[in-house]
Amino acid sequence: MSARKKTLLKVIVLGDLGVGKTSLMQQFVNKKFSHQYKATIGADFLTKDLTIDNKTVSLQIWDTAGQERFQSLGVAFYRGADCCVLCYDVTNEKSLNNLSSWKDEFLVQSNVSNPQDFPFIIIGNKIDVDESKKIPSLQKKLLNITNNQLGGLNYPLFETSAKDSINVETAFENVARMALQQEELNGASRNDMNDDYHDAINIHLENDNSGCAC
Amino acid sequence: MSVLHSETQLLYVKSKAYLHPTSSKKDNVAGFLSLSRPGSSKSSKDILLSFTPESMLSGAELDVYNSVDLRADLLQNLSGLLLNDKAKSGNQGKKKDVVSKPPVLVTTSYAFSIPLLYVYLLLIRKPSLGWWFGSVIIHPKSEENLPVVFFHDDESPLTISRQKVKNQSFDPFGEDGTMYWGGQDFLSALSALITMERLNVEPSVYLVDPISADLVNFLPYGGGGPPKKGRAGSASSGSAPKAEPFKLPDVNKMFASAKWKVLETVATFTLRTKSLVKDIVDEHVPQSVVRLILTKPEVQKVSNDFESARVYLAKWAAQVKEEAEQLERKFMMEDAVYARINEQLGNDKQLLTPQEISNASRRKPVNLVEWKGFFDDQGHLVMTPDEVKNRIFHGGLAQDARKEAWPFLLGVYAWNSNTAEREITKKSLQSSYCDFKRRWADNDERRTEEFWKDQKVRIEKDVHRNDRNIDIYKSDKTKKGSKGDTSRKSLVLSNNLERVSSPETPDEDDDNWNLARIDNVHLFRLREILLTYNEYNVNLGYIQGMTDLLSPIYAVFQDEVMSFWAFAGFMERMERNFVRDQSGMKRQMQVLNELLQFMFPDLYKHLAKCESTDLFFFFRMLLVWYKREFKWDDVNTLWEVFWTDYYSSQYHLFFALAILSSQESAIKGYLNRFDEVLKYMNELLGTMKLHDLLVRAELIFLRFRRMVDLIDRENTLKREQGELYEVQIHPDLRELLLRKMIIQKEEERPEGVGGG
Repeated sequence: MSARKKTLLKVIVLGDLGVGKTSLMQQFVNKKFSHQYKATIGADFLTKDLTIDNKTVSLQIWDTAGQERFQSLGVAFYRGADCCVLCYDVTNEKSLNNLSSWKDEFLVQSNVSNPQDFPFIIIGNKIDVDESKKIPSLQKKLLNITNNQLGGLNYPLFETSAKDSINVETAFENVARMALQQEELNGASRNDMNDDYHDAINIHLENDNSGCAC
Repeated sequence: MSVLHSETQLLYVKSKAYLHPTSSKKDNVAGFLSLSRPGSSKSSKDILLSFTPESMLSGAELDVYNSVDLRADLLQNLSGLLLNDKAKSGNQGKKKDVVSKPPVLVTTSYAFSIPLLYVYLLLIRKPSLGWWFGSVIIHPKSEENLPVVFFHDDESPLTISRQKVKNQSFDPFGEDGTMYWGGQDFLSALSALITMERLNVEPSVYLVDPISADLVNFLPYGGGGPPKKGRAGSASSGSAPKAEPFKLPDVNKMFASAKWKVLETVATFTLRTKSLVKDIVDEHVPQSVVRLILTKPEVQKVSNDFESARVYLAKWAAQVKEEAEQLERKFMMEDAVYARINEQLGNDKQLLTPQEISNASRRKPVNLVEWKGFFDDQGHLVMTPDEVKNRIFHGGLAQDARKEAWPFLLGVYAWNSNTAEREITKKSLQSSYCDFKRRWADNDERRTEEFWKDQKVRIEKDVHRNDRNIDIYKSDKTKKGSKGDTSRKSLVLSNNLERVSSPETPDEDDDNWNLARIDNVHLFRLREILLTYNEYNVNLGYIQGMTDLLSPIYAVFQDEVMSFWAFAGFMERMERNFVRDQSGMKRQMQVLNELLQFMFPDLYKHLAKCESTDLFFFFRMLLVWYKREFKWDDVNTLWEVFWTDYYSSQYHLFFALAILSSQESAIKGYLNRFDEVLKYMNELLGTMKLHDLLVRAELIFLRFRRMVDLIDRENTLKREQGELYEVQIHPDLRELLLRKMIIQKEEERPEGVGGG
């Protein structure tokens, strides 16, 4: 067995309820789509291995609840995040306007060391929906948000459809790339999965405790 | 005087050992588990491990067996005894503890006897919440199966006296935190006589005088060199496993060795595709096991999901273990559950009424006929509400009785009402509901408010994705049959407030995924109820998760008004889960944390290592009362049980402990990180057995109550003796004994704050 190192990258997906966080992840990791993913309660993650610049990385993507108040509990999984994905729904203006509060929420909870240049990425989902339903003058509003708003959300932006699998792959590849950079910045040693595996499973009989332990 | 060939010298005797040949208590065979040295003995390997039924022994022999059993100092002297006898000098002239050789195998009487040389391993099961009686399974090196021997500690004079001593010193739990039980002495005796190797990978397994080949078989690389192909299985079971169904007791052997092989191999891989896992397994594990494991849909799903190897292993181990237990359960039926509780409370019968004790097993559900029998012809309850709750707590309700019983459990009807009074209540609730509904349905101003529109969108989103696999909630397009009653006609409100469709839900769009368009009449009514609840409880409004709580209730009543009030009743106690600052959830998770420390300190310590003591993985289960983790019918039953507040209004926390403790060995053995624990717990979904967990939860509760009581009595005693030291029971824990519902209301919504 090769002692190939694999880097674990932790990504947090945030955004208003119903913008399609679960769907995006399911499409990216499992190539599935359903209208009927239940509202996420608590948190869960999916893992997918990717090769970025000849390096194999394991992307651990955390799905979260869109209901704001549920964020105040269980912030444990924010720790050690390498990238944060802010999602909105191209048919829901409120979800677009909330992006900056989600960003703030993340920075408060995760306590990252470099809030100024921590990698965020913005995903606008549901572009498969009929043009007439989309937020009026979306591009203009986007420009406003990314450039002018206090603090400015000047981050890479992808428009996707989890339903029709448009741009999802590309978006998450960028997520992985940005996360990898952040991870390398923070020192690569801490998430060495290979070592983790060896240490974690206790495969040695305890010699000093043989016989009956009553 | 030496021991004759036909005789044997008793070294150790455990009385009140039982075989349970059938599930019925009356068939149990009482006898002695003994270690004895035959006259011809040359080494400790000749020592006989025997089970001898009481009925086979003569009066004189019974006396000898019993006297050896009662010799409390026996353990200390065992090895000395052996040495002395080897020299055959010291006790000449004393024919001590000699009886005739136990019969080797007598099928009709259940006796067996086997030299230690031929014992391969012992599987020890301590008494636990899952097993009231501790037991030992003896696996010979040959292929024969010996019956499981159970230790009935409640009947064993020596064990009782020792337990008493331990209780008096207030140390009912041994060093490893578990109760002292009869099997411990047996193990100690055995290890004094012969080498015993406890397996780290499966701590309940002890290899008896293992030869190096056995050890290699259970060792990872390094110990005795890498294991050779094809060795697995053969060394442990004595022959190649047959392609038979998974069956006991072979499963334990196969499991012990097979699990090991997979563990060490998978652990060294980081790629985890299904085929790869299969290849690894193929190479090292007996084929029959491989096939069985890989055909499990759950395992296939698991390996498809690119999960970390340890999560996979933990699931696998839990599954195999469960299968083994499922098969063994034949020997432990309802009788045993009674006995468990009786014994647990043995010396403290006054703590529980006899009725409570006899009720502690699961009963059949209350059906409509039985339910109607609870009332007289005026519709007055002829039993006490507590009697009814007891019945529901232990059996749940049959589907046909739910519509009748739930309004009582959810506070819509008073328990002391009669039929006529309930009719009046129903009427007034109908008009009251319409009043609340009118606040949004008949109020254009309200419907233009930003907050209200937000709430509507949230509700519609969640209603659309709610339980769509349940028949009544399926899309009409995928549902066969006529559309007859599925028009979008809203509730006919009493005073001509009839709407064919609500004004803000345009019909024109043909997109089958349009949030505003709800084709299914039942989904439509969920929406109406939630929008009305948004008016009824203005401070709280709508929060995600409420749809999960409403959905089973609506499915039972399929009536808008009754569903609303039943839901509102449910929300009384659930409101604390949803308040804006989440203090209600935080509080429950804190109490659960304390309870876990109190009841399962070892498990708690392990979770601490995993940075998981915030118990975040219980968030979803506590928020919507296990709605996502159990099958539809099970959720109904579980909620009924909780609604009774029979032991505690916080019984859902004991249920959480039941889930956690049922996964204890998997968690301790395989999970080491926060994310692994979370993943594992999240994916228990659909794999848990409700019935078992309910029994487990009840036993945990009873044990908890008894522990609190023991400590209280101890404290009283100390106080009387003027000692200052007291073991404190935190008020949080004491509160868990209360049946009164805990209600926490949401504060008024500050101006400008949304419903998030």
